[in-house]
Amino acid sequence: MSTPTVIGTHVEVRDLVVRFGKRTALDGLDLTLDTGVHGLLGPNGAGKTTLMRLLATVAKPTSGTVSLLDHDLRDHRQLRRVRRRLGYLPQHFGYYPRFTVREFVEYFAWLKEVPADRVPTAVDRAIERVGLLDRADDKLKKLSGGMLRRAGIAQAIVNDPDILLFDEPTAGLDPEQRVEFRELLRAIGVDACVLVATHLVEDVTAACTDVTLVNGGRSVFRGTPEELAAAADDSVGGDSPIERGYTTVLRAARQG
Amino acid sequence: MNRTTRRVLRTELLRGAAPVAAAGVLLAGFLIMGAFAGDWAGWSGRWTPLAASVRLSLMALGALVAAAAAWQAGRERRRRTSDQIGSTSRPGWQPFVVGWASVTLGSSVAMLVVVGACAALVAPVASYGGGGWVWMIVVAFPGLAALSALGALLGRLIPSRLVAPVVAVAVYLPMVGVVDGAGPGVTRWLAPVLSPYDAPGYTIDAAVSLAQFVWFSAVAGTAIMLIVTAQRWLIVVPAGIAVGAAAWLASSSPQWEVDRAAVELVCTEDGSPEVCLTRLNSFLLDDVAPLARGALAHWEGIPGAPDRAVDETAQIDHWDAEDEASVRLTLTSGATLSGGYAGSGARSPHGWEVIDWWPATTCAGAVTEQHWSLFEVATAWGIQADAWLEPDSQRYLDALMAMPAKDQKNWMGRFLAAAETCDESVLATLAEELR
Amino acid sequence: MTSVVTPLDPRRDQRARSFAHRVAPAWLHARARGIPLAVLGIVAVALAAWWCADWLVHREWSTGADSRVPVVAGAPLLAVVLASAGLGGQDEELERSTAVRWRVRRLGHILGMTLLIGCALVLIGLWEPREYGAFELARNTLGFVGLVAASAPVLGSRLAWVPSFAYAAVVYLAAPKPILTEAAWWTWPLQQWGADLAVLVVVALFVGGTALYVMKGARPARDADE
Ligand SMILES: Nc1ncnc2c1ncn2[C@@H]1O[C@H](COP(=O)(O)OP(=O)(O)O)[C@@H](O)[C@H]1O
Ligand SMILES: [Mg+2]
Repeated sequence: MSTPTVIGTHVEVRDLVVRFGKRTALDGLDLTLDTGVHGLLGPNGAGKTTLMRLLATVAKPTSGTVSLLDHDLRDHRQLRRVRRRLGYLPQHFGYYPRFTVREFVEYFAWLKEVPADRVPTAVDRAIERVGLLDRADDKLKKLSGGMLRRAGIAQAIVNDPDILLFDEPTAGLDPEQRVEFRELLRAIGVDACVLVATHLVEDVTAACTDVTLVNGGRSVFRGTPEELAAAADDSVGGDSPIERGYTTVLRAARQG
Repeated sequence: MNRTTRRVLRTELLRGAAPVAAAGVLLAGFLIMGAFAGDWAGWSGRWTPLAASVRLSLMALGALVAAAAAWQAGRERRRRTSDQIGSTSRPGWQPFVVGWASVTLGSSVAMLVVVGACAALVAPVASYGGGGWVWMIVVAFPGLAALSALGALLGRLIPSRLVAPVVAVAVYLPMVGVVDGAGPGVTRWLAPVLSPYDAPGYTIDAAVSLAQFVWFSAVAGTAIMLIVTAQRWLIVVPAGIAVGAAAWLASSSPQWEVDRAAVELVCTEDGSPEVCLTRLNSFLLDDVAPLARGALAHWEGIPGAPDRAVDETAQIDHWDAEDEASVRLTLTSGATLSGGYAGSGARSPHGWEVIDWWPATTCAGAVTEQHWSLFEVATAWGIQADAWLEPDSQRYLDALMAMPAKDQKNWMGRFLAAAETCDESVLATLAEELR
Repeated sequence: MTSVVTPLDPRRDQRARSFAHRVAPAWLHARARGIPLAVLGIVAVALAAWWCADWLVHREWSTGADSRVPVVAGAPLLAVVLASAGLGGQDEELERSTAVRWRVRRLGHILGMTLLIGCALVLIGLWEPREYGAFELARNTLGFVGLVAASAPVLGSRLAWVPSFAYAAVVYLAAPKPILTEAAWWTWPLQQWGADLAVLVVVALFVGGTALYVMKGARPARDADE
C-alpha cells in the first residue's frame, strides 16, 4: 500500500459556476473536504454529476476555482500528479466487454501510472476488495450488472487514491452487496477522501461521516447524517428521520 | 516500455481490434495470394512476382487494417469510457498509441505468416533469387503501418459510427485507381500497392524501395505525432521527411527496370534441339523442355525452320527479329506451386499461347492481305495451336493439313524460303496450291 | 401597427395534430437511425459513381465498358455500407421492448434501402444500361443488401458492413481475369449482365438475408461492439 501522501485539504472548491448554454448546473458552490466518507446528496438534476466531473478533472468550470490536494489544476504537471491520486467511477460506467476483470483493472492501473512493480499486487488487492477474485479471469461481458459495477469500483481504487469519487455507485448492487460496499467505503475513508454522489438517502446514513446536500447547483446543507436527521420537520413525509430531514431541507431551500 | 505497458499491449493484442484484424489479414491474405499464385505473372517459383503480389494484396489487407485501426481508435467514445480515462494521469495519446500499435503489430504478424508461408513454397523451387525483392516485401510493413495510422487518426478525430467502413472504402478505391494507372504517375509510387503488370523479368531499384520505406514510415509517424505531441511544430520533422521522400520519388520518376541477371538464358545441355529459359523461369526447364521439343519435332527436316525454343521473357525489352531460328515460349503463367508446369501442349492452363513463332521475312512494311493469310497459316501450322483464324486462313490451313505429312513439310520449307526473300510470285504459287 | 388575428379553426388544428402524430414519430425514428445522413451519403455516392464511370470510360487508354467494373462493384458496396448502420438502433434491446411491429418495420427498412440505393444507382447507370451499367448496379445493390442484412443479426448493425466489404475487396483482387462466367457464383459483383448464375446467387442472397434480418433483427450492441 502506498503511504498517505496528503497533508492539508483534499478538495477545496470556491464559488464554482458551471453553465451549459443558458442552463446553470452549478451556481456558486463552495465545498471543502478532507479524509472520510462524504455523501453528496441531491435530487436528480441537482448538479451532482457535474460537480463530480469537475473534481475528476474531466470538465472545466465556467468560473470559480477547484483545488485538489493543494495542487493547481491549471498547471499540467501538477494536474498529472493529482490525477495519479484520483479514483473515479462515473455515473455511466463504460467498460470493454472482451477484457477480463483483471485485464480491465490492470489497464486502469497503467493509465494511472501505478509503478510497474506494484501493479500485480495492486490489481489483485483491488479485485479482492470488491469481492470479485473468483471471477478475476472472466470476461466483463459475462458478468452481471452488479458485478460490473464492482469491477468499476475496483478500477477506481486500484491506485489507492487519495481522492475517490463515486457517482451513483450502488445502482445495480443487491442489498447484501450494498452492505459490503459501505464497509469498503468506511475502510477506504480512513485515510482517503471519498465522495459518494447519490440520490439514495440510506446509502448516506450508513456509510458517511458527513453529508452535503445540493439543490439547483448550490450547497444547501452541510453536516453529519445525524444533524440532517435532526433538521427534520415532523410535518413532512418520509420513512426514516434522515429522509424527513432531507425533504425538510430541500423544501426550505426551494422556498427560500 | 515497462512491464505494465507490455501487459497492456498484450491485452490489446488479445482483446482489442488486433485479433480481428489479424484474422482478417490471414484469411484474405491467403485467399488473394492463392488466387495470384498461378495467374498471369503469378508468383509460383518466382521471388519478384511474389513481392509484387504481396504488395498488390495490400489493397485489400491495408483497407481492412485501416478500418480496424479506426474502429480501435473510436473505442473510448463508443464504449463511453472517455470520462474514466480522461481523469487518469497518463497522457491520452498513450492508450491511443498502444491501440494503434496493437492493430499494426497484430496485422503485421499475420501478414508475415502469409508471406512466410508463400516464401516457404517459393524457396525450394525458385531458380533466381536476386532483384531486390526482399526490399519490395519489407516495404509492405511500413505501408501497413501507415494505413493503420491514418485509420487510427481518422477514427480518433471523427465521431461517427461510419468512420471504419468509410476508411476501408476510402483506402481501397484509390488503390484500384492506382493499379489501374489512373492519376498522375507518382501516385503509383506513393501508394502501398505495386502495380505488377510488368513483373516477370522486371524489378524496381532498391533505392526506390528505400524511398518508399522512408515515405510510409514518415506518413505513419506524422499521423501518430498529430495525436501524440502537444508541440505542434514537432510534426514538421516526420512531415518534412515524408515530403522529402515523396519529392524524391516524384523527381526520380521510378520505373520497373529489366533485371538483366533474371533474363539471362539458361539452356538445356543434353543435346538438341536446344531449349532456353530465362534464369527466372528456368525452374520450369525440365517440364517445358519436352513440350518445346515436341513442338520442334514437328519442324524436323524443314530447311530454315526453327531448331531452338527460347523463353520470351529474355526479349522483354527488345524484339529479337533476327532470332528466326527460335520459337518463343511464353511462361508468364502456368507454373504450379510445386515448381512444375501446368500447361500442356500449345496452351497454358489460362488459355495463353505458350509457344509462339512468326516466320522471318524481308517483306517490307505490311505484307499484302493475301500473303498475310499465308503467314497466319504457317504460324498456326508451326505452333499447332487451335487459334482462331480468319476464314480465309482457316480454309488454307485445312487444305494444308489435308496434305500428306511430307507435302506439308515441303510446302513449309518453300514458304520459309519465299518469306525470307519476299518472293511474291512463289508466295502466290504457294497460295494457289492451297486453293 | 396592426395585429392580425387568425380565427381559430378547430378542424385545421386537428388535422395538423394528426399529421404530426403520424409523421413526427417516423421522422424521429429515421433520425435516430441516422437515415437522413445516409440518404445524403447515397446521393453523393451516386453522383461520384457517375463521374468516375464517365471519366474511366472516356480517358485516353480506356478499355471500354469493362473499365467501369470498379464503379459497378464499388458504388453499390459503399452505398449499402452507408445505409447498413441504420439496420439497428442505438439500444436494440430497449427498442425491441417497445410496442412496435418490428418485423414489418424491418422489412420496410430493407426494402426502402434497396429501393433508394437501387433507384439512385440505376438512374446514373442508365446512360449505358448494358455492359456494366444500370443492370449490374441494381444486381450488386441487391447482393450487398442481402449480405449486410444477413450479417446484421450475427455481428450487429455497426459491423454488418464488414463481410460485404471484405468479400468485395477479396473478390475484386482474386477473381480470375478475364472475368469468367463459370466463376460467376462467387465473382457475381464483377460479372456482366448476361451471367445468369450471378443473378441467381444475388437473388438467393437477397431473399435469404432479408428473411434472416426480418426474423431476427440486428444483434443487440451490448456486448458485440468493442
Ligand atoms: N452536457 C450537458 N449539457 C447540457 N446540460 C447539462 C449537461 N450535463 C448536465 N446538464 C444539466 O445540468 C444539470 C445538472 O445535471 P447533473 O449534474 O447531471 O445532475 P445530477 O447528477 O445531480 O442528477 C441538469 O439540469 C442537466 O440537465
Ligand atoms: Mg447524476
